Parts: sequence; C-alpha cells; structure tokens
Amino acid sequence: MKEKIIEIRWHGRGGQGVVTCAELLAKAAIAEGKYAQSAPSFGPERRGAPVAAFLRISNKPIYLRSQITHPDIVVVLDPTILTLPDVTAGIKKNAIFIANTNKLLEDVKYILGVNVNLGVIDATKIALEIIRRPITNTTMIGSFIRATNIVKIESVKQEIMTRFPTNYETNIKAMIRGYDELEMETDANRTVIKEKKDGKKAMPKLPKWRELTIGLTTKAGSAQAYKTGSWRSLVPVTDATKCIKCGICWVYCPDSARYQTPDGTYETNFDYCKGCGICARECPTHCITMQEEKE
Amino acid sequence: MAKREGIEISLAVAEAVKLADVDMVAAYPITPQTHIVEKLAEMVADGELKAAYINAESEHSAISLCLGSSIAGARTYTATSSQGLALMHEILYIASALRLPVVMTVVNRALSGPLNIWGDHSDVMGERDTGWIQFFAQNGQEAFDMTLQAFRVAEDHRVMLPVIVNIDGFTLSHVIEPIYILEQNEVNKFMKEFKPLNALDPRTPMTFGAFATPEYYIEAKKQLEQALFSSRKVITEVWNEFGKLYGRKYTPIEGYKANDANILLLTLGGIGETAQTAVDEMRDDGIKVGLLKLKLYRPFPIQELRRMCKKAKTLVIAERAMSIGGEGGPIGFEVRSAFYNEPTHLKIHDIILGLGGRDVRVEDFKMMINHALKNKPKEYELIGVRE
Ligand code: SF4
Ligand code: SF4
Repeated sequence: MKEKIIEIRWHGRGGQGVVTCAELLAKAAIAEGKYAQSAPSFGPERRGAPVAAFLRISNKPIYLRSQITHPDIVVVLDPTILTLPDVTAGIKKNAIFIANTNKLLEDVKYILGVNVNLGVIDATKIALEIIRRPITNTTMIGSFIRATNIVKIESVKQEIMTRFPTNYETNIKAMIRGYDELEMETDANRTVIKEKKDGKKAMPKLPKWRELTIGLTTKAGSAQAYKTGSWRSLVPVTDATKCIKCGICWVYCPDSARYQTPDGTYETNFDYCKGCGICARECPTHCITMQEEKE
Repeated sequence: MAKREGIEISLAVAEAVKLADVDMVAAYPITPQTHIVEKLAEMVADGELKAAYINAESEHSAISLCLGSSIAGARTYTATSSQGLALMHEILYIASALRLPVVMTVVNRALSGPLNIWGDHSDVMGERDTGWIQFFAQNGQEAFDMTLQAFRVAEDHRVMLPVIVNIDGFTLSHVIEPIYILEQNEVNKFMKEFKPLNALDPRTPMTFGAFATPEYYIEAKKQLEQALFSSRKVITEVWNEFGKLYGRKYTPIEGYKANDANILLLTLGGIGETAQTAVDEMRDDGIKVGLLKLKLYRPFPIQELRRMCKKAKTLVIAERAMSIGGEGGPIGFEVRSAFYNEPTHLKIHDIILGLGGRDVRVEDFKMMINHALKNKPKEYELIGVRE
C-alpha cells in the first residue's frame, strides 16, 4: 500500500458532512507530509440528496483529476443509501467497505451483494448520543482510521479542532467512539457470499443524443416522478389537535410535501417529504416533531 | 410586381420584416441599427404592422423577450449592433439551445473601446459559437431578401434555429440604393405559417430550458451541432425556391470571376462589391484574379470553399475583425484550418482591414493582390496602419 494512490469514495446525503470527511482527512494526510486530494462530486446542493465525495491519499504526488470510479475504500455515512447501486459501483475486489448501519454485518453483506472487506458501525446512534444530531461524519472518520490506518488519529484531531473551534470536543469524542466501536471482518472470520449477478449493478441507461427531445423541451411536472421521500431518515409527525391551520409549513417545505387535509389541518406527503425538518422548525405551535424513520 | 425603389437599406429591412408579418418585435435602439427599429415601431403605431412592439430597457431584455415570445409561438424579430449584441451574448446561446427561430438583423459595428460607432465585424465574430445560423448581406437587395429567407429557414421544422442577418453598419445600413421591394401577395407565396414545435400554453404545460447534468450536456450540444449542419439542406432548398419565385440566386459562397483565377480574394459583407470592382480593373490589367463572397458564415460552407479554391494558387482573405493575440482574424483561422489536411498548395494570406469604419477602397484590394503575387505579405497582416 506504500507506493500506490489509495482511492476512497464517500457516500451520504447532502447535509451529513460527506465532503467534510474527505476534506478533514486530506488535510490531515497533507499535514503528515503525504499527498492527498479531496473533491466533492459537484452538483446541485440539495439537503438530503445522495451525494459523494472523493479522497486520494498517496506518498507520491497525485496526477489525477478524474472522479474515483474504482475505489479501494468506500465509506457510507447514511444507512438508507446502502441499497443504491452507486455505493458499490466499480468497487475493487476485496475493497474495504465501511457502512453506517444498525444491521448485522452478514446482513449488510447480502444487501451489498459483493464480497467486500466489510466493517459496520452504528454511527447514527453514536452521533445522536454525543452530538445530538444524526450527523455521522466524524464518527465515520474514526471508523475509517481504524479500518485503514492511513492517517493518524492525532493529525485528524488537529484538523477537527481547526474546523470546529466551538464544538470540537464532541466531534473528537464521536471520532474516538467510531474508532473503538467499528466491527470489522478479519481474514479469519470473513463472510463470503455468493455475489449477486448484478453485483456491480448497472447504472440506468441514458438516452443517445438522437433520442433527446428537440431543445430538451419536456413535459411539465417531471419533478413529480422524482420521489424525494426515499431521502428521509427523520420523519415529521404532526399533532393535528395543535395545528392552527396557518399553512406556514406548506409555505416553507422545500419539496412541497405538506398538504391541507379536508379538516383544514396540514399533513405530510411521504412520497416527497425528505425529512429536512424545516416544517417542524417553522411551525408556530410546534405541533410537528421530527422522529426517527421506522422501517 | 416587385417595385424598384430608391430606399435606405435599413428601411428595406424593416419592409421585409413587415412583409414577413411578424407578431412581435422587441428591441433597444443603438446606432447604427436605429433606423430599422424606429421604422418598425412606426409601422406598428400606425397599424400598418399588426404586431407587438416592445421597446425594452436593454438588449439583454430585448433578446430575452424574444425568447419568451418565440416559445409562445409568435414570429419574432429583433435587431441590434455592437455593444447591444455583446450584451445579448449569454442569451444567444440559450436561443439556439432552446431551438427558437428568432430572426435578428445585426447591423455590424465595431466594439468599444475606444468607443466607435462605425462599421466592422468585430461584434458578430464574438457570437461565432452561439449556434445561430448567420448570413452576410453584401448589398441592400440581399439584406431585404435574406431577411425573408431567414424566417423560412429558421422556422422550418427540420431546422428550428435562430438566424442572424449581418449587414454592415453605415456602409450598408444607411445607404439609399435601388432595391426591389416585393409586394405582399408575392411574399405570401414564399412565406409559410409559423408552427412552433411546442408552444408555451397553459393548457399543455411543458418544461423549457431544463437543466442538463454532465450526463446530458454533450448530447444536447451534439444535437444542436447536428441541427446546424443539417440546416444546410434547408437553406439550399429555401434559396432555390426563392430563386425560382423572384429570379435572384443565392449560394453559400458567391464566386465572381473565380473559376479560372490563380489568385482569389475572400470577403464578407459590403466590401465584396468594392472588391468586385477591383477584380474587374485588375482583370483588365491581365491579372487572373477572382473573388469569393462568403454569404453563409454559419454553418460554415467548408466543402464549397475547398471546391472553389481548387484551381487557385493563392487565397487572400480580407476581413474586418481581429483576434487580438492570435495569428490572424477569425475568418483566417477558419479558412486555414479548412485546408490544413487537404492535399493543396494553396497559399493563404489573412489581411485585416477596415476596422472601426476605416474606409476600404478599390486600391486596398489591388495592393493586397499585388503584394500577394509578389509573395510579399506575411501570413497575417493588419493593413492601413500609420507607422
Ligand atoms: S414535510 Fe417537513 S420535513 Fe418533509 S420535506 Fe417538507 S419541510 Fe422537510
Ligand atoms: S405550520 Fe404548524 S400550525 Fe401551521 S399549518 Fe403547519 S402544522 Fe399547522
């Protein structure tokens, strides 16, 4: 592992700190005298949308600016995206895969459908306990260091202190717990599964240029087909008895997922609610509470 | 019958726009485009032309209004010059990407600075890559004819692209000369009804101007490029039909005494006619010189250019725009690259002249040809500079 470039792909949802993971580790590696490069997967920034970030670490200068398509290591910050084809796309044989999940290691392996060198950690639980928000980035950094040993935990501590001058203590605590509590397969106790045929699940087929509509004009309302409900890890629960029918939640919901029921109170359309919590924050009577999504 | 009229070219263009029965004109007045849009405003105010006329607060708004009206299914026209065109720049790409058949006259004028209101082609050369079809008129008749042709080409469902008709500022726009102005009933034989592909209509809502991620952008650009290339066929069809109806023939490159010439000149716009007189005089002196007038700039008629230069040994480009810091002007780059991989010994000289309204005379062309024959000029030269 000494001379080659190690390529790490991070997956999560917008707002979970995926890019921060790659950045902190890149800075830590650079501070150690290594070469590193972090890059977000550029795109529209939407809270809750699946996002990725890239990190390369090497002992020699890195002359590559393309996205990471064949990662040596994959880290997934959000348990709800483990089923997306993107997380295993192009993954190398026997790559290290670290998942935030409350599921059993064997079960996760079947969900992924590929024989990765798997580590699991219930980072959401740790983050909620320590940081009191389901922001799992620093916890996952701890697990990453434990599984890979590429950067020193001390160097990352430094970076966390610079980055979070007011709340570095909780973040460092979360990182250490992520380090300590990672459950990692060893060579001795490896679960080997029969890889799914579509293990490297194919990406959706995109239209050829001739198949595009003239001038890209399309039917209106195409956003309706985009069910952002799958992005949710928290769910708004409304106490209709306290609702004063003001419609403020409807105004603020960024995905137009609140609607008026026949009795005038407001409810959530779960096909589109991405669980951002804005409605709960804006509701003047505090009748909306954000609760953890049940399976 | 068409009436032969002594008319200012700008007003002839306005007549053509009226005869094309546009539904909407949005513009911001700028020298030297003003006479066209003033005339159109007057026609609308007098009820001669049943159209909406919007005097926008800027060219950026004017072209944006044009996009909206074209999406709504209205036949749409605008005109501008120089800084006005530069201000439209970002929207021009959107017009072609949305495949909107807006027609625009660009009354070519130098770009500031220094501030200068006179003619050259530096304004429109900045819009080379916007995906608009571009015609260059060399006289008033062509300015009139091309305006009508532009609507037919633009609105053809095999094309659906915006079209610029370039006319030189002042040396064409403000000149009075005899022009055959067609009668409405004659024009009606040529024009067709504009049927938008997808009109903006609340009863059938559509998404226009959708976002394209990296997975789509190249395909969208390829579609646009292909549309521009295939517009060639329609342009030829429209020109042939126009020729049959009214007896005036149009080709992407008009050759003048070019067939047997050893040495060829290439021009765009009004200086082509001055060059023609120079060619006549030099022919009288026994010099086998000919002239190519580029009338279709986008899509670039590369095959015609190669074919028409087959017999010549030397090609002298006379262009009215610079590409500062590059080795030549924009037409020079394009023409040279058209021959780069060809089995030819054609010598190409790129001469830049007539910037900012500096007069271009018969003697200038004679001098260029004489220098080229003596193999004197550099590959690229800005001429007429006081040293
Ligand atoms: S309903 Fe509430 S939590 Fe769901 S997307 Fe709208 S604002 Fe966010
Ligand atoms: S903001 Fe709260 S009180 Fe107002 S309509 Fe929404 S749920 Fe009801």
